[in-house]
Formats: sequence, C-alpha cells, structure tokens
Amino acid sequence: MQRIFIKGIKGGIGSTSVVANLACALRKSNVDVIAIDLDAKSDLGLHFGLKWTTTKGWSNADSFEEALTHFYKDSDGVIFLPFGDKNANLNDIKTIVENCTKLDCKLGTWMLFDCPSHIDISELALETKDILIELVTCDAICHSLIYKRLQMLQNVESNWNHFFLVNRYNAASVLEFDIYSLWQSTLPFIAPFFINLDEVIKESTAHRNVALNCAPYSVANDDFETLAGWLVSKVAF
Amino acid sequence: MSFSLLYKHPIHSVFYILLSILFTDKLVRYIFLKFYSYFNQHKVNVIEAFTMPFITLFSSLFIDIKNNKTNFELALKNYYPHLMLPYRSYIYTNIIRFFIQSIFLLFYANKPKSNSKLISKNIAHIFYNGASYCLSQLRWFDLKLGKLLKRLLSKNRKRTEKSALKTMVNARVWQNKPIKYIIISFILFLLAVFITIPFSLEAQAVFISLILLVAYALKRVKGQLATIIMITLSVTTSSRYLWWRYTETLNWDDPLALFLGAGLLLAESYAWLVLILGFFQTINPLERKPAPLPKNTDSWPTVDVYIPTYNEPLSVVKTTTLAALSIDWPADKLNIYILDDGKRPEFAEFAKQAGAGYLTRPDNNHAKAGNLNSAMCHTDGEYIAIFDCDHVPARSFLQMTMGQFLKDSKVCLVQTPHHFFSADPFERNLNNHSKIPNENMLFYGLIQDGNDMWDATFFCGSCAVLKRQALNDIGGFAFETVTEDAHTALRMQRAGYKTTYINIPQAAGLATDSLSAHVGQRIRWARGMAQIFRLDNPLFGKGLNIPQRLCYLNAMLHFLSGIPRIVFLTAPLALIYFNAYIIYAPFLAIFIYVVPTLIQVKTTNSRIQGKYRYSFWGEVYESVLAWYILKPTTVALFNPKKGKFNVTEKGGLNNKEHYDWAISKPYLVLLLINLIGMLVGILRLLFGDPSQLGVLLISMAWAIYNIIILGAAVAVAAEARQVRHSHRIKANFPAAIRLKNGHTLKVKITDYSDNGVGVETEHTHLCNVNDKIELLMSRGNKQFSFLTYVCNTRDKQIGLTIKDLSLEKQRAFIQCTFSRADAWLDWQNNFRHDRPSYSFKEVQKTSLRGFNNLLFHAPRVLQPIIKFMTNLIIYINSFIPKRPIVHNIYD
Repeated sequence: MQRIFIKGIKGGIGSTSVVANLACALRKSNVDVIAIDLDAKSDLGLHFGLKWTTTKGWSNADSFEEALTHFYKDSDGVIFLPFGDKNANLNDIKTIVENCTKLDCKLGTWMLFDCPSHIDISELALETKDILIELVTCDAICHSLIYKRLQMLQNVESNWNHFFLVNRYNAASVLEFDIYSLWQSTLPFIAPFFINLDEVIKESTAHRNVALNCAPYSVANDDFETLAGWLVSKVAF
Repeated sequence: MSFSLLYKHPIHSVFYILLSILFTDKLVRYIFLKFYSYFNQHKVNVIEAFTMPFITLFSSLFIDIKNNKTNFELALKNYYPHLMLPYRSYIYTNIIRFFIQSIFLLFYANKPKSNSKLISKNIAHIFYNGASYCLSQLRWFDLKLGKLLKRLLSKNRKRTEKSALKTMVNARVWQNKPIKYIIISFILFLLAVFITIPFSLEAQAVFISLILLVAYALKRVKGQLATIIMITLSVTTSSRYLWWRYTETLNWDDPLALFLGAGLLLAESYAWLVLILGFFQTINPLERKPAPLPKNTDSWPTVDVYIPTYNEPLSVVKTTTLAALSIDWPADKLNIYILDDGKRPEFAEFAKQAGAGYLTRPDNNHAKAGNLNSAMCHTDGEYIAIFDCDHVPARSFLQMTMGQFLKDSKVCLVQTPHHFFSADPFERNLNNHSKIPNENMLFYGLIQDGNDMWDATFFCGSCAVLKRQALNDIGGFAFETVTEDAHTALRMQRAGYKTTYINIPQAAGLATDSLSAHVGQRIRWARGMAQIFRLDNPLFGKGLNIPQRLCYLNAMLHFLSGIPRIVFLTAPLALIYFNAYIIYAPFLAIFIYVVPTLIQVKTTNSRIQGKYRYSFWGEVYESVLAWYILKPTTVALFNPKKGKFNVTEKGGLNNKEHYDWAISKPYLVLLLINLIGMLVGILRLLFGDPSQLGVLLISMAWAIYNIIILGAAVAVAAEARQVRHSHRIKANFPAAIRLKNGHTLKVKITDYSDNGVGVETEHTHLCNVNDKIELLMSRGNKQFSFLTYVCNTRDKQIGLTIKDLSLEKQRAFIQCTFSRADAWLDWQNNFRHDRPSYSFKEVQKTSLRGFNNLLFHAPRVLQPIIKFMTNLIIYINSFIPKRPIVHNIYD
C-alpha cells in the first residue's frame, strides 16, 4: 500500500480538488485508489458526486467497523471515505489513518489522505515510504510559510518524502513568475512541475465531478496526469 | 372554328384549315405544337420550324421514333462527342467534323465488326491483362531477385567482412611496405588494363553488361563495401569511356567536327574529373558526433559571439541577438557583440537594452573580414562564434560544438550546417519546398561530412566557432578574396590546425528571397573560389596533405562548371545543325559506350547522394547558374584582384508574381536553339540521309533531355509571390492557451514566426477573431505567458498575433521558439532516398511548368500571337476524330 498525504500550506489552496483529480487520474491508469477525507469541511465527497445531504462519515462512527459502512465508490471506481459532521481531534485522525492503513486491500492500492492545512504533520507517524505533498500558491505568504516549514523540517526528525507543489500557477502574473523562478532555483523539495490555473477545475465541481472527466482537452488533464505519473515513478524507485 | 378567330390570326387559321383537310385533328395539333416550340423556344426560323414536324412525321413512317428518339440523341452524343454545342452556332464547321468523324467511325466501327465483337473484346482483354500481368511479374521478379541477391550478398559479405575484411585489414602483409605497394600497384595495373585495353564492340558489350549485372545485384545491398564496389565499377566504366573517347572518337579529317568534338571531350573530361574527385570526397563521410563537455563549468572557455551586420533591418538582427543571448553557456563566459558596419544609432540603443556589446569601426575596409578583424581587437574571448545576422542560433549551439576544441587542441574550427527555414528561390518558384532536397542539402548533408573525413572541412562564414589562437596565428580573417570564409579555413589548415564539421543544424536563417539575389550570391562564391586559386593555390601551396588538396580542387572545380554545362546543353546540336560528328564512331558503338556508362554513373551517384540530392536535379541547379558563374570565374582566374564584395540581400518581399526575363535570357536563347534544332532534326529524319538515322536519333534524344532540363531552369525564373513579412516556421510542440473565461486548453504549436503563432486545439474551439488570449509556452521547466490576439480561426486552428512585447518578453518568446534545441533537428530526415524514375518525372513536370510559365508571362506584344496560336491548336484539335464514348463495356 502506498500512502500519499496532501495538504495545503494554508487554507483555500485547493488541496481537496487536487486529491479528487489525482485520485481520478490514478484510477484511469488502473491503480486502485482509496481517498480519505481528514478535513472537517467534509467536502471531498462533493467532487466525487456525493450529494450534500449525505453528511455522515467516519467521524460519526464509534468504531472502525461502523466507519466501514461509510465508504463510497464513484462512477470511475475511486473508493472514498467522507469526514462526516462530528468534531474530531488529532487523536481521532491519527486513529483513522492507522486503521485505514491496516485495511485489507489489494496489493498496490494507493491511499490518498486529504489533510487539513492546520494539522501538524509530524504527529501523523509518517513512514519512509510515505509521500507528503504540500500545496502552495505563488504568493508572498506561501513564500514565508514555506521557509517556516523548512525550518520545522530541520528540527523534526522527518523521514518521509516531502514535496512542495505549486497549484493555480499563472505565468501571466509577474509576481507569480518571479516567485516561481526563485523557488525553482533555490527551494529544495519543489516538484519539477506545477498545476496550471484553470477555470475548468472550478467549473467541474459545479458538475459534481472532477476536471479530468469534464474537460479532457484542458491543461488540467495533462497536469494531473503528469502528477500521477511522477508519483508512480517516485514510488517505483 | 369561329370567324373571329380567323380574323384575329388569319395565317394560323388558314394553315389550320388547309392542314385539317390533309391530316387528322391530332396530327394538326402536333404540327402546330412542334412549330411553335421550334419557333419560340428553339428560335428556329419559320421555314425550318414549319418543315421539321413534317420531316419527323415522314420519317416516323419508317422508324419507330418514339422509342428511338432518346437513343438517337445519345448516339449523337457518344459517337460525335466533339461536335460543338449549340450545334447551330458552328453549323459549317460541325458539318466537317461530322463528316471526318463519320469516316473515322466507319473504319473504327469496322474493325471490331470484321471479327466477332466478343472475340475482339476478349483478345484486347487478354492482351492488356497479359501485358500488365507480365509487367507485374517482371516487377515481382525484380523485387524477389533483388532481395535474394541482397540476402546472398549480405550474408556472404558479412562473413567476408568479418573474416576476410578484418583479416585483410589486420594482416601482417600491410606492415610490410613493399608488399603493400606491390598489391596496390597491382590493383592499379589491373584497373589500367581494364580501362585502356581496346575491345571489339561485342567484347565491350559483354564487359559492360557484366558490370551492369554486378551493379544490379548490388542494388538492394546496403553497406559501405557495396558502395565502394559500385564506385570502383563507375570509375572503371567512366575511365574506360573517356579512354575510348580520346583514342578512337576524334574525327581528324573534319576540322569543324574536330574542334567541336574536342570541346565536348574537354567538357567530358571535366565531368569525369569532378566525378572521380566527388567519389573520393564522399567515399566515407565521417558523421562526427558532438563531444561531451566537462561537468564542471569553471573549465569551460570564454566565447565571443559576433553578429556582423551591414544593411539588414533591426528586426532581423534583433531575433538573432536575442537568441544568441539565450545560448546555454555560463553567463560570465559568453559575450555577444553586434558588429555594425552600418553604424546605426538604433542598433547601439538596442544592444544596450538587450545587454549585448556594440562595435563599430572608423572605416569599412575589407567588408565582412575587416569587420571581424577589427572586432577581434576589442574583445578577448578564447573562442569566437560567428552568426550572420539572419541565422538564429539554438540554445544548444555551444554545448554541441565546443566539445571538439576541448577534445583536441589542434581543432580551430567547428562548422555546423546552414539551415534555411524559408524556401530558397528554387524551392519557392518550383513549389517543391521540403519535397525535393534543395541545393544546399548536398553540401551540408554529405560533402562537408566527406570533407571532415579528410580534415578538409570548409568554413562557411556563419554558424561556426573558431579558435582565437588559430586566427591570431594566421593574422586574422583573410580579406584578400570575396569569400573570406573559405580562405581563412585554408590558411588555418596550412598552419597545421584541424577543421571539423558537425552535421546537426544548430541555427537557421532566411534563404535569399529572389533568384537574382541567389545567383548573385553564387557568383560571389564562384569568384571567391577562383580568386583563392589564383592568390593562394591550395593545390601547390605549403602545409596541406593530398586529400585536403583534392577536396579544395573539387570545390574549386565545382564553380567552374559554367562552360562544360553549356557545352553539354548545346553539344547534340552540332550534329543536327552542322552534321559534325563530334563523337566520331558508329551508332552502335556510341550506344554501347555511352548509355551503360551513364546508367552506371547515375545509379552510383544516386546511391551515394540519394538522401541529399535527387537525380537530375543537380543538372537543373547547375544549368541555372552556368551562364552567370562563367564570366566571374573566368575573369577572376585571369585577374583575381578585380571585383568587390557584394552583400546578399534577404528578408524581402515579392508582392507581385512576375517573370524574371533578364535572368532567364541565356536559357531562353539556349532553349530556342535547342527547339529549332529539334525541328531541323525532324526534317532531317524525314528527308535526310537514312544512314544517319541512328546518330541523329541519339542526338535528338539528348537534345530532348536538354530541353527538359532547360525547361526546368526556365521555370525557376518565374518568381512566385512572397506575401508574409516574416516567415512561418513549421513546428510541432505542445503549449497551452488560457482563454478570457479562464479555461486553459492544451494546444499544439503548428507554426511560428517572430510575430505570430499558429496553434491547433484538440477539440473544436470557441475563439473569435480579435479575442485576447494568453499563450503559455515552456522552455525547460519555465513557463512563459504571452498576450496574443486571435487573427484567424478555423475549425481547430487558431492564428495568434503577438503585439508590443517588451524586450524581456521578446527574448522569452525567442527562447520558446527559435532557439529551442530541437527546433531544426528533423531537417534531413524528411526526405526519402532518391528514386531516379520518380525524380525524372518531377523534373519533367517542372519543365512543363516552365514552358507553361513562359507562355503565361510572355510580354504583351507576344500575348496575342500566343493566344492566337493556342486557339488555333484547340481549333484544329477539334477536327480530329475522337473515340466514341463508351459508358460501360460490360453492360
């Protein structure tokens, strides 16, 4: 089993849509994918066509056996687990991550965790094999947050694979272009590509679907395929 | 029938009454119906209209008109397809046509009638089927035999190559010098015997057919050894031919024939020499690969890039400079300089903005060479890269080339091919851009690689890197001749340096934009080469080895092709006009010596040059230039100091299609005497001495070939329109566009120029003209965004224009397009190997086009005559009987 943790360096960076699209892209290349929503907003399901009236998720369950009843499967075959509408503390999240890891699933299954931005990663007991992708946008706030994070990573014993991935990149903006160029030349752990700003990602949620299914000819399609392929190659080595 | 009607239409009524007496009411009504229809609708005159119904009625007594009417019309249409419509307008001529066609039909229809129709059809069927079957069998046989031979020979050859060749190369015998020389001299002796021994006609026939048989067997066999065998065979046959010509075919009794024959013989000797030297030059092309650079960039040398310019517009120089600034090389070790002999302030301004150096000099002595020399005093890079201001370098240029210098300290020059993204005048005017390899292709694809093998790569003035040390040793760029480049390379080679060539296009530029400019450029090269030969003769001077001398000799001879080419284009006329036997031999001997030798040489050349020059096109290119390089080379040979450097103009527009009469004058004259010669030849065939039939026919066949080549040469002079200010370059790489509504689509870039891009979307798009669109292109891992406007749209295509980019953005745009490392890589791979028959067909087509152009562009004064002549021909043609139309034989 391969675990991928995806979180925004701050809120509102679009991590949930990245998880949904990545799950879809992986599924399309015949990888079994389980996506687990760890964010109290519980909006991952909306990307997979779950109705907003379905509010229950793992946080509502008292035991993991009960949580098992809350798994869904979307039309592409992505299995996902919504958060639910109850509060959950860090311990609950840790438990569900551990329990999901123990799930008896097929060999080569990928598990994507949509983590909330405020969570402390070092608490999650990541292993060497795990990949953590921290999404950033090219602005000054993220710039300072990234350097804060790098400092933190130096202090903590971090053995997982940590990457920064630029989301919603717009080369037309001079500031974004400059910041990204700076990162490319100075920042360690930055992914060698980025997700382009694309209206289609927003629009696809209005169709209760992912961009991959809504606009196969858009750049978003290529970007997520690149991301999926890159991850697969990272895992292979 | 009332009285009032009678009053109203008296004539009608009277006739009606009269007819009623004779015919039934139905027939009377029929007659009137027909009359009115003929008279009113078909505008037939009264008498005819009135008599027609009666004729019909009368004939209906004998024929079943009702059933046969459509048949009759059909038959008329089928059997007299060329009767002009409407029939009545051409009544008299149509009668003649009808008459001729009827006679023709009488015989034509009689033929199948004499036999039973079915049998004759069957016979024809069997005959045609049989013929095509035989042909296909023959082709199949040829294919199978070729493959079989290939298998056999390749197998054998492989084994021999592995065992025999290797043992041969490694054998101790070679270390023993006397034995080596003995073997070589024995081979040479054998060759000499084969070349010089006089054969009887029969023996020659056997000998030559043996050689052709071997050549045929090698047709499909790939590999160097087979090529070398082919070359040996060609050398043998052509030398033997020439020997025969010198010893047996000069007519000493007829001074005129002797004079003309000697001329032809000299031209042939020239062709033979060029052929042999060409074989030598390209026997084993080196195909050098780029050498790797050390990992540590600190040890990379410093490079100055010179962009000399004189009168070219800023837009041209801008692209090149920005691309040069983007070459991948440590920034502190790369300096770009614009060497402006035009001394224009706007260039200085631009250079300052862009971060390039700007150098001028007080005088303009010695043109380009002087410009480069003066720049060398102001800069201090260890190496100097030179780009003509219209050659846009790719970012990988230095990394591809510099390795050679580091590998071998004796290397003083690395040359890369000149690639042109616009069509040169030949390609444009003949409309065969990227269909037929162009004139340059042979030189940069094959000859330079061959030269490299012999350490004799020429410097071509641009797209090259030179070593400052070497230049200093020879006192800077040579300025004594108008081709400073070749002369500089020659001097460096004399000084013991090595020159190298890498056949990977690393820069691209504009081709000359008109035929006259192209010819002007070639004249300069020709004059320059001739000057070098007078001032600094590579054949006898110091410091070169023999192969280098031979390569230079061949390059020089190439530019002397003017006189021999014209001799070849007029030679067959000697016999036709003057009855001068320039090849004094019986018809059969000429046939047996000339034709197989030509076949052998042509197939060998096609084998060697196939990918870079198609058969027969060399003759076309040469014929165009022949007249123009004749004078400058001759003048330069006698007086090398004469003539000055002329700048080749590029990047212009031809906004009107026109015919360059001035430049095609010599070919028109040649064409005219050839055409008249053909007429004379036909007359002589009909009324002349029958014993001369064979020789006359051979001469005429040759003249026809010349006419075809000249037709193609004439076709080049019809200047096609060139409307775009900047050339679109074909491309194929991914990019993205972001529409106004935020949608970001992936697209493919199909073409680009310095102010526009053509893209293709995967899906039908919804863009309109004048929409603002963001174009996203990547270079390495950097993405750049460019604001563009939609200028045209089609289903999946969008044309984008780029306006008012800042200098920084312009540089980014050039980095994403022109200076891509892979931009020009597929250059030589687009052409398949030469097939002589196909190639000849193309030449023929071009030639026809040339004649067509000639008529179309003829001067005003001649237009009416040409119009009259064409009409006359069409008119006469309309009388010639035509085959009846047969719709379907099998019905």
